[in-house]
Amino acid sequence: MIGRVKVLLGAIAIGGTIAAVPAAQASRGSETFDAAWTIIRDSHFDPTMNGVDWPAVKAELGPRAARAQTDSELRDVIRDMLGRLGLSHFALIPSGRDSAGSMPADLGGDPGFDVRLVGSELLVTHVDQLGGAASAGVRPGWRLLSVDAMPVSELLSRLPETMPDRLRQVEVWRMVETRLRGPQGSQVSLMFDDGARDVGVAVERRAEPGQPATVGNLPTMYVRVETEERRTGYHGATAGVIRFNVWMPGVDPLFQQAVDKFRTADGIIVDLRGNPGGLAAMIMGISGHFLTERKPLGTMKTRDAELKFAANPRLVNSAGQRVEPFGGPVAILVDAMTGSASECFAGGMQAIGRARVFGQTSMGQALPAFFAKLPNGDVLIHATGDFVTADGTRLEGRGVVPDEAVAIARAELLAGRDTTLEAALKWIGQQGR
Amino acid sequence: MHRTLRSGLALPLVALFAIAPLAARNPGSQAAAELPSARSIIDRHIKEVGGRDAILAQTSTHAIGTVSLPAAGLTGKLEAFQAKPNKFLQRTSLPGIGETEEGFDGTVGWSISPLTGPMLLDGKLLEERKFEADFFEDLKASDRYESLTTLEKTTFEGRPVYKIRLLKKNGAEDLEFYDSETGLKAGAISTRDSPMGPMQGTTSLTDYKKFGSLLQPATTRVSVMNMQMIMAITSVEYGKVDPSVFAVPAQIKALIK
Repeated sequence: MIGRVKVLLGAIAIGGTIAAVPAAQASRGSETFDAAWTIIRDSHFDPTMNGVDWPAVKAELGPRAARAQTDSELRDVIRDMLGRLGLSHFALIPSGRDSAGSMPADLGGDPGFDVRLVGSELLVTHVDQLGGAASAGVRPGWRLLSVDAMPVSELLSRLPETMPDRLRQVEVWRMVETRLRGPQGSQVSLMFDDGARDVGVAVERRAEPGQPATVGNLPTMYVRVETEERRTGYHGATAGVIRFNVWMPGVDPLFQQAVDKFRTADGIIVDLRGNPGGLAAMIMGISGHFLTERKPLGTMKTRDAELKFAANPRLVNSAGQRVEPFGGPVAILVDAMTGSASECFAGGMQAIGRARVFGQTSMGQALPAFFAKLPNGDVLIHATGDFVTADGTRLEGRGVVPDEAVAIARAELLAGRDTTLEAALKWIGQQGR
Repeated sequence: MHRTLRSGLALPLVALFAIAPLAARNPGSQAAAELPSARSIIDRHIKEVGGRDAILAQTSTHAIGTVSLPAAGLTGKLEAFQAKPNKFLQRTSLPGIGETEEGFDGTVGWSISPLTGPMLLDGKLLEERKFEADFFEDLKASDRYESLTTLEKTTFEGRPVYKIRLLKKNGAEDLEFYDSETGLKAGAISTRDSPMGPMQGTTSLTDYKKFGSLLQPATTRVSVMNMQMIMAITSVEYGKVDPSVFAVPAQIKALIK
């Protein structure tokens, strides 16, 4: 029809896949529960529902949803249902805050450091130089002992001993992060072991650095892209390091500029440690900076279709001039908090032999997901596809296994070393581009 | 590329094979004989929206409206330009995502997405873009199709409709639904190639309103893989599009060897 808009089916495929880390009312209880149950029944990529008797789940939990007195109780029932699937990317984003939630009302302030579980120790792995922790003297390698008098050991003891390490990493991080964050300008009391003695510090929570990005129902995220040029220490070779914290559209132009900056480097390192994912479709654009052909990194398998996440070769630089994609060696750094779209990218690039992966095995939460608004206003995140890399590797529940595993060692952190980055630099230096 | 497309089309063809026997099973039956021809159904639609002459009198259109993805909580702007014979540019802007453009200047098909970057269309993607860019697409000129067949009288989105199969010369086919009471097109089920492979979508056209001399569906709902996108048109201007709007952007020109 003249004047009618064109229906471009591809345009709808934003392909959201984001690590499900929602912060957390019982109006329309049964209706909301039934809607969530039905959406999953009709859209789950696996018609066998991962072996779960889905009608039986409804028969068991439906009456509880109908009896829920508060929105928080209803959400607990729905989350119970989602948990039965045993898969990532089935989550609930509340339209408001849980009334019974134990988290502070405002989580916009951040103390400015990151932690990872190493054995039974929670170690500081990164300190933001502009954050409150840096001002308080906190350094990588310090062991976190308590947060506002809550011993880390008590948090760890709440986790089942049978919980797989991969899930334990994510759950511990989530529990601690929830307590570390709070209103901007507030302070959090922390106790550390600095390697020689116990140190108590009060750390100011500051605004999270980065450009705020809000996409629809997703919570606001702060986009950060950092670059640095490093010498590899081998044959005078250099490498460009590009770090970004989330897959949001604001990343793409900055990543483009970074690739332009490092076109003559001997290699490029994409640091995805701590990056929990974002908009999955972006992996097609970012991977295109390193590929000259529309190679599929992997396939999203839904119940009745297969969609390929194929690289879009980036043949134009940020100045609009024709260029060739970067042809040198590419290293990707991952760790236990690398999730979702980051895993699709890292696992996909690894599978086609275009990148070598360094670090620790990633989250294993890599299911492309869509959103659906429920009758009570909450948003259901539900996986509609399974992601399988080009060589047939399923990442969900497995993660990206590095080509070169590099364990986090406290002594190295205390010495100011980043052994994962060093391993990648060494490899690039040895490639002799 | 050819092999990929053929294997990619396997899924929709399964669905189509399920439909084809319905039409061929008993061609001489009274039911089939009572169905109006596809051509007459399409011609009635053309008459209801303003008539063939009114459509052919147009040279270009500029439509403005909104686009939303309700489940994702996203609503943004939509702007579409079209000109005869087959030029178009469609621009959508979603908060937090950015601006996406899709275009065809009669030769070059392209897209620029904040998620995936600039892309030059080729192969089947370009072929489909060229076919759909036809300014008078809804006239369903017979030289553009191998056949147009009325399959049955059924319901679509709760409305009584005639279901028509449009077989293109390249073997691809679409299903379209025309309201048997109002005569207006109600929607379609079609499979289109995308950079991610073939995607099947269901489109419903509602809220027909008069824009200038022509009746247009003010609301278009597209459902793909359980995700719904709603495009709502608020204004349509005719014959005032500057041809330069269809010029291929510099970053696409750089992709052309």
